[in-house]
Amino acid sequence: MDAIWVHDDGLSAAELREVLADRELALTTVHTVLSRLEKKGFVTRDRSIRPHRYLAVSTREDHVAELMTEMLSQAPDRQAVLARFLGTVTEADTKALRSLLGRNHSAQS
Amino acid sequence: MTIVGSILAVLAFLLAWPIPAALARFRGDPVSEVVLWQAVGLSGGLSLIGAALAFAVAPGSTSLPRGILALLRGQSHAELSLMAWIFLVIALLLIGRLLGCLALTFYSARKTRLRHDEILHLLSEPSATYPDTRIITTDEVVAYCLPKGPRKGTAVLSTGLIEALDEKQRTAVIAHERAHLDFRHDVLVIPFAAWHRALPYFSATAIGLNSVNRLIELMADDQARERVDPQILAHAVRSAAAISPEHRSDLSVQRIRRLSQPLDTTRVPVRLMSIGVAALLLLVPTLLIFAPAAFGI
Repeated sequence: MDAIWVHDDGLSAAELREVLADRELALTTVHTVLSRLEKKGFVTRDRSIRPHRYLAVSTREDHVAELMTEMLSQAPDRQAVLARFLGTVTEADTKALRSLLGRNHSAQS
Repeated sequence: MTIVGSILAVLAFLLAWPIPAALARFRGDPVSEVVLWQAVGLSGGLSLIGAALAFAVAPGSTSLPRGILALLRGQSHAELSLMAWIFLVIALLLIGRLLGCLALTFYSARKTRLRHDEILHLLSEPSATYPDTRIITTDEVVAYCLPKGPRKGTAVLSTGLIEALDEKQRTAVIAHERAHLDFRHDVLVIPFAAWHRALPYFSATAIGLNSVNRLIELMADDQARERVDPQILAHAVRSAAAISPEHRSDLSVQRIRRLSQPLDTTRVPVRLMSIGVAALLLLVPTLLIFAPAAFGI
């Protein structure tokens, strides 16, 4: 996944295998992993060209921001999931955090 | 039965407003408080449902189960007035809503957790120094934990936190997170998250949820004392608050104060007393519903 995040313009399964050459993966393994990542919504496949190119759906930073917002948000069902370390975060804090992160994740969930 | 219904209704009202408000102001042993909150939540729900049921099957029977049994057999079917039908529907809706929300909260908590875990595994590296701990690259100063079944789960530290704290403080923070995981604090919160979801406009459910969320932090601090020096954990909380505004809250102040003092020596008798009060709180509506004769009604 790190390799895909680095390549903004996407890369094919064979290219990804080259990047990860030190792990000596079979091409089918790379394909399996990529289609699993696609099913889970982490990558999209560009089918207009052959071989298909895989692109990251969100940047690494966006994913981190999503996790942090989820962890810090005060919505009751989320509180049930995660025990926070410090501080009860108020709604104002969450809003400030969201604007800092530049995205409104509540709209997605 | 109308007397039983009235008493249960008064009890439900007391447990919905004055008692939670008083309990939220109480500052004592966190374990005792959590026990009392659980009892207030259960007893309140029981009283509310019991009151509606008692009004519904008002005439004809000495105890609620017998009244319901008679109703199911169709014996007092004809006697049910319109008012009684309304109460019966209210009772059934309440039961359905509370149980439904409990199941929903449990399910959605699990789903969110699994999804979070999945993304986390792509974004973070396992820590080389600490077992069952992952490191996520972000400037936010955070440490949290992701429960996963009994005695399992992952503690997560941010690189921001690692930079902000020294090694001893990090170990203390991890001990705090492990306490959350080992003592299943996530399970303690679920009923309150569910009650709040079921009755969001009821201030008691919000107060209860907030209180329990606050109390599990204090409990984790107390339980971490067995593994690390509380002074170091207090320093960690202070350092995090100094850097990150999210951590500057009343709770942080309270945690630093508690960690700087030895544990209250009276906590064991206080705990026993709270368990007694909690049992009483549960017993009163239960007896009223199942054996009103015990109260001479």
